[in-house]
Amino acid sequence: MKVLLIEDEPELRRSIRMYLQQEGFMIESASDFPAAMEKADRYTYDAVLVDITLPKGSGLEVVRKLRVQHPATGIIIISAKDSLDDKILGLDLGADDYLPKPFHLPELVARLRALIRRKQFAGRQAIEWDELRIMPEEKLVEVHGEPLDLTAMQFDLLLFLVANKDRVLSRSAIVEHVWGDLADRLDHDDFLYSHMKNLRKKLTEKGCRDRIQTVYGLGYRFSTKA
Amino acid sequence: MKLLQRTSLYQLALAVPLVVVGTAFAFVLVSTVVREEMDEQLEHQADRVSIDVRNGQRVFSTTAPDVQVAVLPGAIGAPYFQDTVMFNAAENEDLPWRVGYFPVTLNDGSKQTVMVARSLVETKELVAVLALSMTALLALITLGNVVLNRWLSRRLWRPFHRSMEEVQRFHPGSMKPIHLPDTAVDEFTAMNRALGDLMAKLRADFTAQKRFTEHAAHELQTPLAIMQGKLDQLIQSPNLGEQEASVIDGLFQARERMGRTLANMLLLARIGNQQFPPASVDWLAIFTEQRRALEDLIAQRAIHCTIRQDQPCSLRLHPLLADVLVANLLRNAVQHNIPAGTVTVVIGADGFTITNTGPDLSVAPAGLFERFAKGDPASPSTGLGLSMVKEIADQNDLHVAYEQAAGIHTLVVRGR
Repeated sequence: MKVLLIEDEPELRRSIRMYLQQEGFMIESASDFPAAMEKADRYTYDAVLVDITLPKGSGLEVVRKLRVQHPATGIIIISAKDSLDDKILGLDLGADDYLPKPFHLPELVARLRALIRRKQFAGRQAIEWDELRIMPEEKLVEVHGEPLDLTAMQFDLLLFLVANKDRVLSRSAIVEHVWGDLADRLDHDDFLYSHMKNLRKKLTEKGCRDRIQTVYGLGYRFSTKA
Repeated sequence: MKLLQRTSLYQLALAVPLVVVGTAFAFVLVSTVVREEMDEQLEHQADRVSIDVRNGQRVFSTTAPDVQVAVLPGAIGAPYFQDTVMFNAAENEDLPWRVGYFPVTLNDGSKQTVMVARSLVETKELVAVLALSMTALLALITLGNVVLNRWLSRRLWRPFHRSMEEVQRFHPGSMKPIHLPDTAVDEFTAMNRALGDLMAKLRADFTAQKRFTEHAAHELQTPLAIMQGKLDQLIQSPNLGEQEASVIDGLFQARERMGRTLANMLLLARIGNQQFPPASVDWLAIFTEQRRALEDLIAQRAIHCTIRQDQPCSLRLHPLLADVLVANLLRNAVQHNIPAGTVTVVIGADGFTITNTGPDLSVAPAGLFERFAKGDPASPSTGLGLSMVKEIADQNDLHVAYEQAAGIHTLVVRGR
């Protein structure tokens, strides 16, 4: 998976690049408008992450150009300028998603995976590990070929964990993903705990291995390893 | 008291003594003039009578009832005049007379006195009428002056009142143009110019402050994003002990709270900038959706939450703001509640009411809508929720009323 990261803030660029590389993405980056335009012009990417406020130009311009030249490329706007106008304008221009800063890197990964799945497999691609099979588009989960009945929230939770498999997910990131960015984590710690407990119970009852691990004091991890 | 009433009062306060003194002065003046005239007439008559007296006539009978002439024995040095009262049988009362005594030297050299008297009844009446008309005239002029002044004032002050209304309607956050009336009065022109400048400056300051908030929040988001990224990376490290984990979790919490405060500040600034045009919204759907978001909290606290729609509500608001408004209000009602309490939402045609059980407030209700007002300073809430509600209401002509009585809190949102 080739991803172009257009972000002018060096530290943030470094964090995103490292995190995504560890997730198996191939990252190229651009730090200003001309470099972004040149790369977008010359190469084809599976996805592009673009900041709107760039030195020497606007990320919206990049979105416009990409949409025309590479319609198959997924575009996510990552911007601190989270005004509604920019969001609407960006999506109108053809961006696929909009992620306001500050965001959790696992959230970015989840959105990126969902976007690529939608763009390249029309969402039809199932995610599978041994006995577990998840069909994101249909919102279905099977264990050993048997359908598993999950609530919308449990499904959302499972998909988020799976998108960030083998990584530690902070409770903050999970709460923000499930309950929205205005949710107070302290209010939701207990709920998160009980939802997680129920999800694990449902999975193991059907004979799925207990892949959701609690990382002491920090959060949870979905492990693909035995 | 109005300025106009005050001026009228001062005018009257001046007019009353003026009329009294003026009338008294007029009376004295007229009386004096009339008396002098009268004395002159008496003198003329005495001159005529004196000729007859010298010729030996002693008795004078006049046909006019208001004149009496007599020759008295005895001599006086110089003529003199006197007011006196004589009984009138016909009228059966004492009537005033003016009497003049004049020395006369007869042909034989003996000296006698001629007395001429004229009734003062007529002149007294004349003076009275004169004084009365003077008073009436003075009173009329004064009254007319007051009325004229009131009318003039009302007319002259009209541009002032119009400017006043404009100032009262003024809101620094609003983009409505300022219309101060044109006036031919220099003072008002100067005032309007000063007011116009002041309002423009207020608006500029207000906008600058908003922009500052927006920029500050915006600028802070980049370092926050970096911090978030680093934290997300840090927790992937395989050798974190319990101690490190708890430190990192503290950082996560602080980061989160900062992010929420910033997001709220940004939203507040943007509401103030009127970036959200109102539209009609399905309030029942919004309440239902927001209750769903609070489902866990409601279940945990065993709160009985009911939403009832009597009639579709016609309040207009931007959908995003409607979400924020309802989310904040519902959240407050659930959070500041008692275990197994109730939250009741009733949606009516012209607004909605949220009633909830809950402990008494620790802050005054008026301060509730202030920014950063918190019942509990240690609470992780940003303290911006209700001020957001107020800002949304203010900018969209909604009225929010809050009251509490005996553990029941009621919040009403209506159109203005």
